[in-house]
Amino acid sequence: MNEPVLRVRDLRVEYGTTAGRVRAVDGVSFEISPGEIFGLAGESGSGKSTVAKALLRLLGPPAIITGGSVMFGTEDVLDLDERSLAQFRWRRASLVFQSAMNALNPVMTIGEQLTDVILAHGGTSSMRARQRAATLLELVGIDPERLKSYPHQLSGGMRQRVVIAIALALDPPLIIMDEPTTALDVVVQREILGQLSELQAKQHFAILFITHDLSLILEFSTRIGIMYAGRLVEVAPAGRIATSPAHPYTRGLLRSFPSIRGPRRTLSGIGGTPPNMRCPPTGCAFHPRCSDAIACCSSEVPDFRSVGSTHKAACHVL
Amino acid sequence: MSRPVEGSPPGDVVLEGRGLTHYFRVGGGFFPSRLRALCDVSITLRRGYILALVGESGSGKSTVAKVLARLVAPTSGQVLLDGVDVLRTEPRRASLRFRGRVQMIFQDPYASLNPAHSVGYHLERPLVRHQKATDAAARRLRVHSLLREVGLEPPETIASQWPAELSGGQRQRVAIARTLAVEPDVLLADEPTSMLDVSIRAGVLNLMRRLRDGRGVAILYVTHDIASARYVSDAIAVMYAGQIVEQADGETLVSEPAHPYTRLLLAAVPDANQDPLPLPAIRRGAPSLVDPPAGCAFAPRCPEAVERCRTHVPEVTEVGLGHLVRCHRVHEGGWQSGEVPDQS
Repeated sequence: MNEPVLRVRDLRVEYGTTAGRVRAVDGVSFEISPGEIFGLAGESGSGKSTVAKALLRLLGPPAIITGGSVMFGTEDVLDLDERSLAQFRWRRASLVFQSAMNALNPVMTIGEQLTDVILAHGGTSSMRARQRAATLLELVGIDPERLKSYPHQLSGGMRQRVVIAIALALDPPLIIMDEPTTALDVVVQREILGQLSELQAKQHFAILFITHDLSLILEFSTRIGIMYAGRLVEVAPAGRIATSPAHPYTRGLLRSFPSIRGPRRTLSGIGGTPPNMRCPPTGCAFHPRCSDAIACCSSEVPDFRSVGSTHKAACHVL
Repeated sequence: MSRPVEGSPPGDVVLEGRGLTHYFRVGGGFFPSRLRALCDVSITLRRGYILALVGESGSGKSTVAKVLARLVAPTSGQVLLDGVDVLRTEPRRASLRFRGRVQMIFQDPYASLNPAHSVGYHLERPLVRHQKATDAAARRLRVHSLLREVGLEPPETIASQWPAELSGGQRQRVAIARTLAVEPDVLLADEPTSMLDVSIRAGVLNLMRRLRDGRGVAILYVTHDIASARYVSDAIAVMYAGQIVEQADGETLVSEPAHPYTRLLLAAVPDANQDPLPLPAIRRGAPSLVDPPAGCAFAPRCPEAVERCRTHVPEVTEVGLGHLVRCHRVHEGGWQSGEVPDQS
């Protein structure tokens, strides 16, 4: 097996609030191999976006990274100084987030914004940067003529593609995508993800794909981590998650989605409500909503156990 | 659609929209333009029956709900409650009687509740306004039973809480309980689950099914999620660019879609249980509604469009029992039903 592109160990992030510290990410560990699409799924507040931002050290106060390591090769991102951080971002790992399409500068053309990124990091001539910008737009399926357009002249789907093109600009080995298509219509979403898979097959970058949409993540990723209340509760290949989920929360999630094909099953959803992170439940955070819970679930935090060679889950009742 | 559905499902018609057309004014100044949000939309809501209205953003599905709720006055068309055109009988605004029978649930439960009032107050107001319970003790009992009905327990505690103390799913249940307070015959639910966490959504969907079966409420479920539409509804109507392009019962629509747009939409839905269907290579986006195409609105993106599609708006055709399609090509049998069209 290749050396992983990214190795996250025991990552901890806290938010300082008036009511005290809230632990948003609590001991998360995973790795991503080159060319892999690793999906991170969870409900709002589960900490998945905080993980994404922590990986690039984009978190500002009141968030504090309180522990762990984020290794890209031999470098720990958490140890980098500001200058090496600027070099690291975009070149080694780039980020596309949900409302990224609204992050484009409205008074600059698409072309200027693309070449800007390339020149800022590149050391190439502006001539070459413009050529590269045109190639990038073609890669994501937009006519290079559009380099002269301003963001408001493009549809939401096209703007999101431009942002993906910017993320690809420096050929980073890892692209982090946080709900990249959530704001878009399904047809556009399908087009963008289709193009992305093609590109990914050609250029072999790895993707950390974050979304709340389980059917989307099951279809698009190769391996999946399920987050609940700041912790990873299950990690397995996509096929295993779909067919033999081990954690009760994952099973509950799968029972919450209607399917478009096959028999119409009654959805049971998950009882109770997502935890309040200001005072998270003791022990396993899922135990108040879990129908399988036993005595130790409310007192001890479960560790990961292997359910197969590539499949692990954090649950006392396995 | 523009004619009544034959042999269709049980339940009397309660609320009906006929030939609804609506233009929004866009752009200010001396030369505003008109955006065609709805074009000849006819829709029928029956007792004990859930009709889902699906479509992309901008397709006009929320406008249909707002016109039926009389929050938006249509440019033309009729809104019939028990067969009476209420736009004619109460032209200026909806009467209290109308609002007592037709209620709307909004997408965002964080915005639809007043942060300065308790949950109990939200539920008591309609009881007072619609004279459903006159003395305070009866009102309190009614509030508690409403909260229980939507699965909020214990009702005594919840009633005294503030919206800020509740989660999104709980708030949406309060919003639903508030609409039930007036014992409506029709519920217009505009994306009631899209702001909620996934594990909570199933609960709200099941609640709608319970209301249909238990109280016989007629429900319009507006959503962009065709899988949840299939799950809750008795029939699905698909909207595109301000028109209903296809309507059928959920199973027929999913297994034998007749309109090319419906097939495109189905092919695009992510599905974990099956390999993705090939998506027809369609690059162009939705048409401009300010300057809509002359013929079928889907023609510019349609892989099967012929000349007539670009010049004439197709009429509604019934291709099966209660299966209505607005497409020129259904007459010709130019493609096999259920097949995904390929552009090549």
